[in-house]
Order: sequence, then C-alpha cells, then structure tokens
Amino acid sequence: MSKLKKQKTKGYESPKLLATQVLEEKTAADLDQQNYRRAKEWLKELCKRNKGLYQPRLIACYQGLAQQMLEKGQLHEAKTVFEQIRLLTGRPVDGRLEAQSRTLTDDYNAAASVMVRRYGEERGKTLTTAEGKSLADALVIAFEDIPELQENHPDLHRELLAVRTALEHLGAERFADAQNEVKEIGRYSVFADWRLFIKGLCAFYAGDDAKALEALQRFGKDSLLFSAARPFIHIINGGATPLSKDEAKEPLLMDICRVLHRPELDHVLPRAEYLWRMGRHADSFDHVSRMLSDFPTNEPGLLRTLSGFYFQALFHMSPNQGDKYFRDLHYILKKRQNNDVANLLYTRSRNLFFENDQGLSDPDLLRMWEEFLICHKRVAGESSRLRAVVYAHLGDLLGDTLLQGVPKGDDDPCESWFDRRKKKGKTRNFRLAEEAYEKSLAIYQADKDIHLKLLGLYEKAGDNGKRNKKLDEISRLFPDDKDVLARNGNYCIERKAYLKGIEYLKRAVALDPLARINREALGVAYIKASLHFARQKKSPRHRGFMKEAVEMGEADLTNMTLGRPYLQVRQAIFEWIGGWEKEGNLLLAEAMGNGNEGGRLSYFAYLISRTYEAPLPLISQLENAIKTLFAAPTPAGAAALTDVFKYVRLIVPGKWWLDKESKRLNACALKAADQPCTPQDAEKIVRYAFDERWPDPELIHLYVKKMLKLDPKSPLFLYFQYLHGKSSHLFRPPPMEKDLQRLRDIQAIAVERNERLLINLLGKEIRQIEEFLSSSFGDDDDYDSDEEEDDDGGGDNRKATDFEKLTEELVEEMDRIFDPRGKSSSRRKKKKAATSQASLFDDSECPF
Amino acid sequence: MDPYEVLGVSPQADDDTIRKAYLELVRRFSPDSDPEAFKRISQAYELVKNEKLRLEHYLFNRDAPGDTPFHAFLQRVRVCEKRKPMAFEQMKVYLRKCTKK
Repeated sequence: MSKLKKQKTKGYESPKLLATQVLEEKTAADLDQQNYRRAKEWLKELCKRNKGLYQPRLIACYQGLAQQMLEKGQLHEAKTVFEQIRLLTGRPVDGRLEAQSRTLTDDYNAAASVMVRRYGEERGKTLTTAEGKSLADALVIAFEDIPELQENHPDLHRELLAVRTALEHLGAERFADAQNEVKEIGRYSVFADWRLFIKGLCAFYAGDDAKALEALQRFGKDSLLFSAARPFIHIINGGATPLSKDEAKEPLLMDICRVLHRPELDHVLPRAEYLWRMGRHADSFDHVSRMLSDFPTNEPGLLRTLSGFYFQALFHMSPNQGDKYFRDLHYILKKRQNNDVANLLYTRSRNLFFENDQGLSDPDLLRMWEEFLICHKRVAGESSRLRAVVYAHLGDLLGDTLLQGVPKGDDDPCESWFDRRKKKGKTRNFRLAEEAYEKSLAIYQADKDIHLKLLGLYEKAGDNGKRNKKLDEISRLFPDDKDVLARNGNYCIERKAYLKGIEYLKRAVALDPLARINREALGVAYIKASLHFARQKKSPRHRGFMKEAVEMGEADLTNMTLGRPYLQVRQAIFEWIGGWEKEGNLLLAEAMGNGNEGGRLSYFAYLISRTYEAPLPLISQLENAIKTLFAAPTPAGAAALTDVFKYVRLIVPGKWWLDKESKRLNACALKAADQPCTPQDAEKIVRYAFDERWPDPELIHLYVKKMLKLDPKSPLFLYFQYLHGKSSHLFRPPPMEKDLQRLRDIQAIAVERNERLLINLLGKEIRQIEEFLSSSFGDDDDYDSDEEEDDDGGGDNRKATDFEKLTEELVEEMDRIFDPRGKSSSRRKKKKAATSQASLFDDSECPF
Repeated sequence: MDPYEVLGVSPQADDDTIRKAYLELVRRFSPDSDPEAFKRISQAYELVKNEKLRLEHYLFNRDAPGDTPFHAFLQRVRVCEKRKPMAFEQMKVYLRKCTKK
C-alpha cells in the first residue's frame, strides 16, 4: 500500500472514488503495459464491487505479477504473491510458477516433481508449446530420476533418459552416440528442442559451423536453450553476433570464457572488452595487466595473443586515438616499473609508431632503436642476428628516397639497373644509412640482401666509386648467385665492358633459365655490344654477338626484344651502320620473308633505323617501302603498326620525330576506319590513341562508335566510351554519382559476359571513385576553409587534379593488366622488355 | 594471427621444425579439403620460414590479432585451439545457470 500512498501524494485518485467503468479502463491499460502491481489495486476494488466477475481476473493478475518477480529473481516477493493466490483460490499456485520458484532456490528435483505432478493433473489436456518446453527443461536440468515420471509417464521418461545420456556422450566427445541417442525423439515431443540443441552442439564440436548455427538459432527468446546456445552462436560468428539492447553483454562473454574452458578469464576479458568498446583503451590494458599476473608476455599462448593485441592495436587506430593510447600506455607502464617484457613490447610499438614521423630527427630514430636493443638484451639476452636486422631496417629508413614520385628500388636487378638514371633522388640521410647498413653487415656479413640494399643506396646517391667497389665485394662473396651475376653483368654493360658483362649474364641465365628478365638482359647486352662493334666497323665481333642473340631469340612476332625476326631486322640495320649495305639488304630481305604480318617488320625497320641513325639514303629506302602501307591501310594493318609504334615510343620517349610519326599513324588509322574491323584491332587502335600524350579524339570516337554499332553492349567499348567522355573535357570534372552508376552498369554487363579482367579493372575504378567521393564529402569543411583563403577555386582544381591523376593511373593500370588478347602476363613481360631496351637506344645518343 | 600459433610451433623453433610442422599441416588441410585453412597455413609459413623472416616478423609486425580484446581471444581460439566439449558435470552446472537468466 505504501506505493499507493506515494501515488496518492502525487495526485493519484483513490480507487474507491472511481466509477467501475473508469476502473476497468485503468485495469486494461495497466495490464497492457504489464504493470501488474497497479492493475491489482484497481482489480481489488472491482472485486469488492463484484467478486464473481472480477476475482478470476485478479488471480490472473497476481499470477502475472509472480511470474514477473520470478523473472527478476525476486523470490521472496513472489512467495508473498503466491500466498495471496492461495488465499483467493484455496489451492496452491500454478505449477509452472511454483517450479520456477523452486528452480530459483536450486531445488531442481522439486521443480521437476511439481511439473510432473501438474502434467499428471492436466492429463488429457493438450500442453501448449511453452508448457511443454518448460516441462522438458525442468526435467532435464533436474539431472535426477523422478519416480512419478517413470511410473506414470514412461514415454516421457524414456525421452528424458535419451537426452541425459546424449549429454553424457557429448561431454565424452562421442558425438555420433549422442546423436543416435536422441534420434528417436519426435518433432512434436516436448524434448524436440533438446534434440536440436544436442545436434547443434555435436556439429559445433565437429567443426561444422553452418550446421551448428542452423540448429542453435532456432530457439525462442524465452527458452532456456536460447540462453544456453548464445555463447556457441557468438563463438561461431567470431564475436560479430548482434546483441539485443536488453541483453547484458558481460554475462554472455563470461559464458563464452567458460564454454571455451577459460574460466580464469571470465572476470577479466568481459570487463576489458567493455572498457575497450567504450574507448577507454588504456584502462582496458590496465585492467588485464592488473588481473593477469603473466600479462603482457612474449611466451606462446593466449596471453601472447592478447599482448600482441594491446601493443599492436595502436597501428590500426586513427592518429589522434593512437597518440592518446600511446601516451596513456606510457603513463601506466611508468607507474608499474620493473616489467621488462612490457617495456620491450612498448618500445617496439613506440618505434614503429613514430619511425615515419616527419618531426623525428635521424639521431632520435637511431637512439630509439638502440633503446629497443638494450631492452631486448635485458629480456632475451644478446642476439646478433636481431641487431643486424634492426640496423638493416634503420638503413632502409634512412636511405629512403625523399623525393616524392621517385620509384623505390626494385627487386628486379636488371630493371633497376636500366632505370638507374631516372631513380636518382635525395636520400633521407645517406651517411647514417650507409653506417647502419655497414653495422648490419659487420654483424652478419652473409646477408646478400643487405649488401644489395647498400649497393642500391650507392646507386641512388650516384656514388659510382663506392657502388663498383661494393659490387666487386658482392661478386667475391656470392660468386654463384644469379641476382648478383645479373646485376654485375648489367653494370659491366653500362661501363661498355661487353665481354665481361655478357659472361656474367650468361652465367645468370644458366643458373635460372626460366628467369625471363635475365634472358632479356642478355639479349639487350648482345644488341648493345653488336651495335657498338658495328659502329667501330668490327664486323666479326658485331656479327658474332648478333648471331648469339638470334640463336637465343624466339619465333614470337609479339616480342619485339627477343623475337627472332626483329633481331634479324636489327642486325640488318647494324650492317648498314657498319657500311655493309649489301649484307644488310640480304638480311633485311630474309627477315621480311619470316613473316611481315601487316607490314609490322617494315615499320619496325623504319622506326629503329631512324632511332639508331642509320645512313639517310637507306632510311629513305625504308620510308618508300612503308608509304604503301600508309597509302591503302586496313584496320588490321593500322593495329599492327600501332603495336610497333607503341613499343618504340616506350623505349625512346621524347624523340621529336615520333610526334610527327604519331600524326601520320593517326591519319592512317582514321583512313582505315571505314573498312570492316575486328574488336581486337579496334581495341589496339583505341588503346594506342589513349596512350598518346594528346589522344586523337576523333580516332577514339570513330572506332568506339563503330564497335558499339556492331555490339551495343560491348562492356569494353562502353568503358572506352566512358573514358573518352571523361578525357574529352578540357578540365576533367571530378567523378560523380552518375559516373559510379555508369561504371557499375558496365561492370554488370562484363559480369554477364564473364570478362574477368575487365570486371577487376572496373571494380578497382569503382572502389577508387567511391573512396574519392566519400573523402570529398568527408573533407567538406577543409574545402570550405580552403575556398575562404583561396578565392580562385583551389579546392575544385585540387579535386579535378586528383581525379585527373586517378584517371591517368587507371589508364596505365588498364594498359598494364588488360592485354588485348586477355593475357595480362605476356603484356607485362612485353612492357618490361621494352623498358629494359630504353638504355639500348639511349646509347645512340652518347658518342662512344 | 600469430604464425607460430597457426603452425603450432614455438617461436624458438628452428627452420626444420617449422617446415616439418608446415608440411604436416598442409597434408591435413589441403587446398581442396579446406582452402581457408590452407591459405592461413601457407601465409603463416611464409612469415616465419627462416630466421631472418622470423626476426623481421618479431620486430616489424603491425597486425593486431583482432578488433577488440575479446575478438582477438575468439580469433585465436578459432584458429589455434581444438573445440573441446564441456564435461558432463560442467554442462550440468552451465545449463542450470542458464535457467536463471
């Protein structure tokens, strides 16, 4: 009554003063809201007015209240309500409620007996599903024989025994036996859910997560088995199970620890998880380290995993979060001194976290890692290999190139060799980097990679003296290493020590005949040597080298570096350069006889004769030959010529006459556009046009339109159309939602046609645009502030420039991965080969 | 995930022991029978197959084993531990506890 008194003071009316209709309305409203406490007050008053009518409703209300109290664990209060029910009905309370109260006092046997008694009393009546489940749950968790059940309900008893035995089998890892035991339990049995639970657990322990999940997710929320199955579901989902709002998470996590046989963690991890999720990362670490004496550790096991988590999580946080977490960790560890392992892990994480910080000075960087080495020595003793690796790492950091856009050193020795001049850039701290590498090598001299890195550092710095000395040392230390041999060979070729260089390269190829890069390097070395001797009019030597090149050449017309017909053409040009015109003519005729498909060899001969600066009359002779090609072009012919042109353009960029040549080629391809054309040829022509610095819009438009007329849903040409549309604007507009949609539509067609390379390419572009769009929206504030400072629309320009870069990258990517015949690897090889030839042509500009 | 845990070897194990463990595991989890496990095992092996790689992994690895502490725990259990059912008596206690939720 005290509550009612309180309510009275708050302005509630006394039930006595209310009309019956009002009381009925209030009762109904409170019952709807499961507010049984207040409903019973209205019902009591109604009972006084008409006992016969309202008493059954009052009893039902008391039962609801008792149920509610039991669910909240308010056993004492529930017993008072039971007494009220008994006074009103003259009988004990409903069996389910009584059983529930017995369960709360851990009297499972009594609870089961009550349920059995009730089942016996109501025999003949059909049990509701909920009643059946309650009966089954009470019987199972009693885990004891109920004499009444055995005597009066043998069927139920048999099924109960089956469930119990199955649980025993399950505990002993006899999963097949467990499933066999419950096989006889029918779908409509009160134990059907228990059968499902056992089936789910058997699947869980057998590792069949899909089957386990299917079984364990079927229980209703009010069931015991729902709670029992939750930890298993959570484990299967790897912690990603959505949790209902009213579900207390910590008890679930505790159960998971128990289910996974980690009871020692059930008071540690749930709290740590809560703190972590609340953003109190360092508190979470602090909690775990206070609760687990062996944490953090480097010893194998779960605690090592947790240590790894806490000391590596900062690399996956936002900079601000990471910074805060790092500072808090520092504070906690400082408070708790004498934990060497924690300090070691902390120092390591700190170093990795800050080593790329622009504000960190080079001596500080060295000092930080030396501190780590001291910590490590204290914990694990001296390790010279570890010391060597740390110094090598410092060498990498300090030797890193400062200039943006300068490519980093490549694993491929030949490529880095040929591109050496392009890669020169300022290193962060050459002296310290050199010292660090040398310290590393002083500790462990047999590390070839470090020697090569130091060599790379000298290359970057352009210190040829040190580089050559180092190379000699490496050759002495690793005489039979193919990478070293190849590197050495390429250096020799650069120094025009052809014989020595070719010897090294031959040995590298012999050690790994499948390494294409070394084969191509050897081919290039032969060509360079041959050209050199042809210019010196030393015919035996020049011919000898070209003979070897042709012998190792391939009959492939697409490989313009090692393809035998192209090598023969080169040899013919060298003969001309040497002044042996007759021999050159013979060789050229022989080469053309080997397959001058679409005039590609003639065009190749013309372009490289100009590149090598062959005698002018002979160049004119070749020009006359190719004039016929340009006079009556076909799309196939034009496509073949673009292949050759692209190759020469790639290896000798910046030649003024190539721009003029490009115009002639464009005109030729345009002229051929009226004739029938295969999609492959059209693709080659369009790609060529896109690759040019100033793409011919008409050429692209004509061929794309032509192909889309033949196949309006060709995803590749739709994509070209999209790219063309984007690039035809003077200021490329940034991508918008409609671009994204268009690309998605094209990708859907590509998926239908199973054009995998195009699907991947489009996927990449879509992702980049999505990122671009999301970052643009995210950076709105920044743009606003930029615009305030810079009224000329710097923000827009920046957006446009970003997109331009993005588009260019994609066109490059497209060229790289999307081979016209759908074979990306050969395309890459071809491009690599072409790149490595660049130095060959560069030589023609340098007087020998 | 910790490659040593995946391969079931100690971080102090030598090249031979690691290789043996790797070969044993790929025999059990072939690319056909369990592609996910095979990939995990191969990746783990590539990280620690020789001393230099092991040291580099120890020094420079930045991968966190999970998004949260509990997630890290679950990931480790999922990858490295065989699921073992509760003993009958434990199950009894567990189920009875579930009635009180």
